[in-house]
Amino acid sequence: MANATLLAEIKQELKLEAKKGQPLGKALWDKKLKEGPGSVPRTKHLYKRCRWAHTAGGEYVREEIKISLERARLYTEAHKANAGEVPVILRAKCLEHYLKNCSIYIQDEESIVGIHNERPDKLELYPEGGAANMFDYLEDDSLTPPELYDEGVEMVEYWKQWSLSAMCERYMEPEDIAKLSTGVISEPPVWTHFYTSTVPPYQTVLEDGLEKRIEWCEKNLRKVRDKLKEYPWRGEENIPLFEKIDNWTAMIIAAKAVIGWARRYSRLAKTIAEEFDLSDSVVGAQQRKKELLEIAEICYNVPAKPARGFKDAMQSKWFCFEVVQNMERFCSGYAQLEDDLLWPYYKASVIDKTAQPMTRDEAIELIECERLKVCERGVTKGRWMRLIHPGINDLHILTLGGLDENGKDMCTDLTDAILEATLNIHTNEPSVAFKYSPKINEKTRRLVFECISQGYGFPSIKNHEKNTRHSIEHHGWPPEVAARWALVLCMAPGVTGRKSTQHSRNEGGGGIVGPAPGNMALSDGFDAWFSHRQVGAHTGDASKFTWEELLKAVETQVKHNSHLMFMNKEITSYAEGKRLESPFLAMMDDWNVEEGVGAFARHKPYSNTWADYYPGPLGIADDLAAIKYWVFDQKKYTMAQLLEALKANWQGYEDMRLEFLSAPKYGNDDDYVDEIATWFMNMSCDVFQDAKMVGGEKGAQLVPQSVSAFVTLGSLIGAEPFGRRHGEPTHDGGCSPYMGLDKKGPTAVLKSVSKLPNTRLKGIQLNQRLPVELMRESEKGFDVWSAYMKTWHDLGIDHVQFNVVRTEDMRAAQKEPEKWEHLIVRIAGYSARFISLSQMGQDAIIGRNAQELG
Amino acid sequence: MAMCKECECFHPIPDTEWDHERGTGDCVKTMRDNKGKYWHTAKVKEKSNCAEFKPGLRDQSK
Repeated sequence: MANATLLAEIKQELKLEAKKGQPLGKALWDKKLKEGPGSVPRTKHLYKRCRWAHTAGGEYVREEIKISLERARLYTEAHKANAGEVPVILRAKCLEHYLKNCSIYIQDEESIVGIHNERPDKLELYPEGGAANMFDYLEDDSLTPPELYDEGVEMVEYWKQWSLSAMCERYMEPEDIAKLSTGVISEPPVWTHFYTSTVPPYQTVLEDGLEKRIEWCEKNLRKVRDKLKEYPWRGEENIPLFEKIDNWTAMIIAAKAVIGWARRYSRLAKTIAEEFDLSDSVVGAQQRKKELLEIAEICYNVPAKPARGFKDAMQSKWFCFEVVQNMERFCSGYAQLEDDLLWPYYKASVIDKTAQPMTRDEAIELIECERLKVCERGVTKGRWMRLIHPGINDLHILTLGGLDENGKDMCTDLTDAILEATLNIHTNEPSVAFKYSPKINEKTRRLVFECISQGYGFPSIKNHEKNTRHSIEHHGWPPEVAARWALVLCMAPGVTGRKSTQHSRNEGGGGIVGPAPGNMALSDGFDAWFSHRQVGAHTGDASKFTWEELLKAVETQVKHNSHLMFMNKEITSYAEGKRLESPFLAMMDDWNVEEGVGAFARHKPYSNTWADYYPGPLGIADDLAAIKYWVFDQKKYTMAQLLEALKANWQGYEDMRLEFLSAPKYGNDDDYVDEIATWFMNMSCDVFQDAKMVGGEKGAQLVPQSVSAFVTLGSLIGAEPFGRRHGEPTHDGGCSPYMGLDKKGPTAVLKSVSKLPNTRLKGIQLNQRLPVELMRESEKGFDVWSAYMKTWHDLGIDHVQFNVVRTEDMRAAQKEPEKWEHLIVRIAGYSARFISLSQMGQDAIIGRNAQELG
Repeated sequence: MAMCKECECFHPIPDTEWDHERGTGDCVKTMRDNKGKYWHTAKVKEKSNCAEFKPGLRDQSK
């Protein structure tokens, strides 16, 4: 039964005047349709004028978006002026020159300031990554004004010898580079798409302030210089200290530059307040002037000094995010355990009112502003990544919730405030992950439910206990560190706190194409569908395979593809440590400062080596089950006949295709196929854990998931034995049944998923769809969903996320997209506006079965 | 020819500031586009000029 007192409290906080008997979700939905998103005039204004920076089909949805060469220009200038420097100090000086000379701006009504772009709707480029990404943008007339082209090409020419690509290519055979570049078996070489992610250890800057961290670096430098003077000389001990001197020197340069840059915002805010007309501000001229003067004071204070209250903390964190993830380099993500990180400051400001006192509503307003700022971020990343991330700027995922190392609920009033802000502002970014346990208090779980029922597709739910145990057993993190994990990107837990967070995607992330081993095992590793070349291992003529030989061939393909992928990651990791250091990121991490090592040093206290299948691989289970059933058990078809039909993309073989489609399918609690899925996942875990990446002595961990690659990579994966045609979407998620083929209800899906080796997997993505009538429009929704979640949790399943959306709404949105801008759906590791998806992407979401609960 | 340092948009950077550089300053302007208003700063040389010059010498002592 609904807790009436709790409901009343939430309704009051959300300022809902629900009619008697009207479910909260429906009342909230109706309110937003009527009044628009945003809890106050400022956030309503900021939402309406938001500079959405997401893409669709690889293209930015707003044609105003163009590139700028300001960052590239300033980095190139500094690089030329300091080319003789050691690489890490060169990187620091490039950042310093950039922060000193870049344009800055403050938009009307902003409460959090700081941005990496020359001006609104201009996106910066990273020539040090290599030519591929640069030309991707320079040669796009819709993005590059003609007057910038020649200068851009000149920069590419300059950076050729200094770029990440230039360094990495020498370590891999051209044949293997060609295989990876097709994208058929694995993502293309990291050094061409220049995509990475990070978990900035914000806590150090919020708690210490940069001035204190500079002092620490300076103290370390003095100690080392004193050591060098000690008699007698000890070369073996002293030579390694030179690199530390370089690293600390670079950290100091970077940290001082960031203080200076933040204070440029202080100066600008003060100038605007004192000299410019603010009479058209939505809060009134006097109030806006007061706010700008406060922003000036905050930007002078942070990140130089420790954060005092919630406003300081939000601003300091944002400045660090901008530097680490947009200026030193483009890094994907918005990784943090946000409620845990900011709780001390929220408590000081909102609860105790001892520092920067503010009301709870004002804090929620600030969180809404943060969400909109994320939506405006504007990134440049390789076309491969833009294509598999339709409908978003980037993979912005923050984490909330969980239990501490003693099993105590970590959720606070800030957790609830963040969820309420999310409900108010109705944006698809940043996505939210929630560390779920039945021990978490009911109010927070209710707010999680309400977010899901609004159709956001988030919070995506991760099993707190399962993931904490996995981190302890498979990564060796101590319990107090393991309990405080946050997602690095969509699915994989990473360390938070003050030290040893994950700094690069080359440590953990990236992956191999899930369905590819199955395809390649049937074709002796030859790709006949996209690249028309040998991309996989030679495993022999599949028409002659026995069942055991078929399984062996699949395993061989997994080994071949994953080996190239791990080599790809480690080469790039090595090169970025040599040539593309991030000294500000290193300065943020206590371990890096203590040891005097660069950001990408990998022999660290808490390693996090992992990689993905993406898209998910369980099409292989359905393929193998269909083959086993019709070829080896029923003996109605031979392998040769099957291969002939697949070569024809099932054309002319429709009856046969329907028979193969009717074979047992994963997701229906059927051991015939579920045992194959379990074998495949166990085998994959074994193969991944054989790979001992630097610092990861327990072996790389596996995360099957999909982003939207299950749609966009459909053209790379040939026809499949389970009945899929070439070009059609593959299985979404990491363990979701194929769309429409889960026919026995949601509990059967959970039972199939529970048979997989969940405790061995670092994460595995499960998408489900639940009806609007239950979730949003019924008072029973929360209780029914909670009971389902208990089953999910008791089965030890890693993850689940929900689409709550009507088919008829999606069909209406396909016909009249301009009326359905508010419709958000869950894709895979993120959510997107439905109208930003391709037709095939939209149809894939529509095709997911809506499950009935209760 | 009119120079940036004689323009009302030009703001000298005090020598106590980290990004102070002799002969440069901030050019601060209100800008508008179809999404709204923003205030933009670019670094300029005192002796450079541009088509948007507006006379209004700023007190260099501030």
